[in-house]
Amino acid sequence: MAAIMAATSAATSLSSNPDLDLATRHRYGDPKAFEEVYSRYAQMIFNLAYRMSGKPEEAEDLTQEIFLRIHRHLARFNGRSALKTWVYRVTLNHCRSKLGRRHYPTQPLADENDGEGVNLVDESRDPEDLALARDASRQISLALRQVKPVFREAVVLRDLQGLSYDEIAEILEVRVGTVRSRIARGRDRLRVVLEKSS
Amino acid sequence: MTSHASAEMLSAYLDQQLVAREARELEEHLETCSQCHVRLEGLRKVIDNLRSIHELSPPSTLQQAVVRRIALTDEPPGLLDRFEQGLSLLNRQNPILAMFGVVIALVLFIYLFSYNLKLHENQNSTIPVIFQDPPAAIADIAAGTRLVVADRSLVWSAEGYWLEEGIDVGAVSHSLEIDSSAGSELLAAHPKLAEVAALGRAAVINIEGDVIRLE
Ligand SMILES: [Zn+2]
Repeated sequence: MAAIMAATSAATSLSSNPDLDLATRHRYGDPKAFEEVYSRYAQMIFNLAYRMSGKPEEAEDLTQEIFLRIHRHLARFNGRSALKTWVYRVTLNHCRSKLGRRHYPTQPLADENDGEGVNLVDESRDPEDLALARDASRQISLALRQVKPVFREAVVLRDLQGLSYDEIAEILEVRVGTVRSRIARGRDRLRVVLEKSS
Repeated sequence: MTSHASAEMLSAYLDQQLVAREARELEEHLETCSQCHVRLEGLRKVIDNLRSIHELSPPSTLQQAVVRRIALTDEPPGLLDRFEQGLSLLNRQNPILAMFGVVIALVLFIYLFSYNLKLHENQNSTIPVIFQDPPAAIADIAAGTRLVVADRSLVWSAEGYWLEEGIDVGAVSHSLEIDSSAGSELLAAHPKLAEVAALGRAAVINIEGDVIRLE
């Protein structure tokens, strides 16, 4: 009996792993735990989903579904990787399975008119800089959609999310050499698309 | 360096991922080769442009939408968790009730323990089979053979794997080795999958909307 009491109290006490504690709190029904996960990762998930789907409305749906999965599975997060890595994996797996069925749309440049760019740049800058930056980031955003998903993922993780090669390798569960080659192929494709369009 | 630099070398160079010797050789080549130099500058521009993209903020209504969807579709935390939680509250308030709770917890604990033990045993004895060559006796399964395992209807495909009925093979999003850490996480999350793994063959199944090839 003492063992059971010890076991129940051990389960609610905190470990030295804050990510694991968050999962434990979630498992015990503490709504603040999931709120914290939401506030930590919502922006990252939304932007990743946006870059993978290419559409803000779709990114919204994907983000909702991804959080649903996180809510369902967070209790079983085992702390073997960082929570951030786990969330990235859940996000990419979900995007792949949802978008994979349509082979991730890679749209031509011509049919784009979705008003993006409105929130893309920092509004506090000089109007001329702003216009230029808006133009450059709009162009690259559109070009990104013409990159194969497997290379796009790697480029987005590296150049938009700012992750290291090692972090990307852990998330994608591939070797660093593979990461290096995927990033290069994605970037080189972007270079070609941009050169063609200018 | 005698031939032109690959995109991979150039891209890795821009990320300072080359070892000193590689970087030096590349720099020497770049001094004399305008073609590679142009490609390098093109890649540099791509990176600069990518980094100029500002992140979007998720819509302010998104969190509410998430909470609503969870409330509509997700079950609350597990029964046992809630029971344990209730128990820890009782402990503080009423010693007799707490004793009673502990007795129930003990029964529940023994039950779940033996269940888990069985599951564990089951997993231990079956998972490694997957990585062995199938015994000759079961090597040939006729295409179209049907089987219901873990509440899933499986059909043996001509290509030699179990395919869950109603799944489009083209939708496979990734392959997962049961032996990998991701695989054991999946098994922990879906204990019933152990039965599929026990078949000792690759299987293409749908797990909550994800089409996964289990190896
Ligand atoms: Zn050259």
